[in-house]
Amino acid sequence: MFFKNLYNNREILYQLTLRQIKARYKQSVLGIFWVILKPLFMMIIFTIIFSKMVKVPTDGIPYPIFSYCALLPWQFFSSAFSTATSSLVGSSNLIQQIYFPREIFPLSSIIASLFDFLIASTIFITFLIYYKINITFISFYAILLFMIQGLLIIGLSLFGSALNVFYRDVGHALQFIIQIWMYATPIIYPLSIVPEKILPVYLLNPMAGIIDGYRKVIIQGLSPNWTYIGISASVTLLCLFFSYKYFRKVEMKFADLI
Amino acid sequence: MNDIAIRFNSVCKSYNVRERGYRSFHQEISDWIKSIIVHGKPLEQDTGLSSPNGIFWALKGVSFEVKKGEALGIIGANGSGKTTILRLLSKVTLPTKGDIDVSGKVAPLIQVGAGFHPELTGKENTYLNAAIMGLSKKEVDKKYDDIVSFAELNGFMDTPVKRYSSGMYVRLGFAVVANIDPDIFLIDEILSVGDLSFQRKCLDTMGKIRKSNKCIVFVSHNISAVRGLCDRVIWLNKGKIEQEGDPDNVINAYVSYMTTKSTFINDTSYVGGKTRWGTGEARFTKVEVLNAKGVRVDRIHAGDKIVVRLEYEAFQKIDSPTFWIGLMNKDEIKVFGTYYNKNRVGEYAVNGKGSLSCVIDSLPMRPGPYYVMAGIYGDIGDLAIDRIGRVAEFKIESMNGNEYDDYNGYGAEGAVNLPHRWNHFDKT
Repeated sequence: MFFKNLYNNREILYQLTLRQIKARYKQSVLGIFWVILKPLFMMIIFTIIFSKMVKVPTDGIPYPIFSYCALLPWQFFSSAFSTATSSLVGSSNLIQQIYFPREIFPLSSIIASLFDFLIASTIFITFLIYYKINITFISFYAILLFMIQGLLIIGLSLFGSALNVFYRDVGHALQFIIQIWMYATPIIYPLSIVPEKILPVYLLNPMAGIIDGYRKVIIQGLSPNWTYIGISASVTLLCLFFSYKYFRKVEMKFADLI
Repeated sequence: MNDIAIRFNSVCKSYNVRERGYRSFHQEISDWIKSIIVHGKPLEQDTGLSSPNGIFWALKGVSFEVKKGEALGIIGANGSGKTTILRLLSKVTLPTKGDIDVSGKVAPLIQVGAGFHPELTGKENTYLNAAIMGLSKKEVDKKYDDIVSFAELNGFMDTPVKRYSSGMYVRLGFAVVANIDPDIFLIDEILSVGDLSFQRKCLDTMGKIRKSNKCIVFVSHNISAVRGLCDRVIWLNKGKIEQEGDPDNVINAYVSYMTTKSTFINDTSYVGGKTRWGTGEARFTKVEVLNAKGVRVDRIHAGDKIVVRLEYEAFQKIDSPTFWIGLMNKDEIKVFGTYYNKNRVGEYAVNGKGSLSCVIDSLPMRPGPYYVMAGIYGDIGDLAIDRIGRVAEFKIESMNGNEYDDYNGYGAEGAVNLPHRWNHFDKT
């Protein structure tokens, strides 16, 4: 149902995504460099603070690549989630005038962010070569992890964008929530230093298992912790299921309320 | 049965006024706390339908049909439910009660700017807009040249649309819709933006669309456009159909209703103004007749130059209003009328105080008293904003030696004295 709708409207999805990508790169002088510079600068700052000033254990991984490997997918998560959340409200004119499946709006924002992510990833490959990290068969588990992450973003965005139509505070609250979420995710520190006691609660954050998984499969060449991934995947599917149901339920109210 | 394109069957649409528009958490929370303090427990969520409070019925049982090949006009004051009907037709919202059958592809003419992104070029926006209407890239490729030439935007398609004029925007928007071949066309106000020749072209196109068994729903304040385009007109009043049928009948009924509802009628506040009516967004503050030297006069001679000076105050921004003056003689015959509007000077707007004058180089009229009438009309229709009968008066006096006045005996008839000469060729 969800995918059939998307397939039938793939042209709109494509054009709306293209519109966002083009508009973003046409407006700024540095254009494409912004998406590369942002995680890069964060990585540099984190490296200075957390490996030079405060010693954060990294399971033996050099701090720059330790943090970059997490910052890159996190950057995708946070930009996709926040742009998708405001996507419906930002297109109120269209929503009041023409009908096509509303999930196209958040999805096109997510895909536009994915495009940024792919561009920013090119620099990651340079890092891998510099640190002489071997890509093995296990590294391809990253694709599975990435798919879980994608579904999580879709679920959260469907819910967030619909809720934003009803309550404009969602937009303001979101920046704050994402910031806290980042500290609740093993980005500047490894998952291994999280106390055993709070681990069951900690892992309910699906991004925790995913980010930890990326480090394991790409940098350390280890299999991911399947228990963690299982928890992440279950939470993700639950979130997607209920978000999609909620979205469908309120979808026809958008034009009246927006 | 099959020739019905649209059927509305006692359609009602309500909005929960409380819910209308977004809310913020703190509003929600403070309401919740208040309800606990007042009632000791949270209030049941008001579902809307149960209580008459907070419910706004935008449509109250509207039924109509539109046949294929028909053009339906919908007129009515603001808030009468016109836009709601368009939204229901384009399926962005659902009726609260009743049902709607629509057969065929519906294409709304999307408002200026909504479907366009200012940073993108005309070409990119064309593809975007067409995709929103449900066209694939291949289909747009085929129609692209037609769209460009229809919009008369050759050479501008690689320019970002933020550099377009509002007329160019509308042309492109209309060109896309006109070329995607929908079965049902929804057109909102929009056409008043383009220039006259493009408006004509749009109307012609819509005429062609109608002939090809497609149907048009045209929602507008522009009464003359509705009259020119539609086969049938519905007049909506507060969510109900007040009248339906032949355009002339319905429009006349609507205009006379709106005139009686005008905010002021038979207002004699203006000195010399015997009757006055209008919707009141702007009013004349002074109307006077001046002579060639710019001095106010009430007596002139036939053939003299006069200047009618109008001062007005607009209480809000009014786009391209029409100013009108007319001259009436003692027999209450309109001997002359003229108007000033965007056809003369292009798009403009008024707001606040202003004045304009009409210079009449020669007034070749019979002696007697004359009255000036003045009116301001909206850009979009026949409704007066301010209309005064007999706002000023002057007298044309006879004068010996004046070419117009020498022969004013019995047989010199008619409202005007046209400049003329007699020749007699076989005089003995």
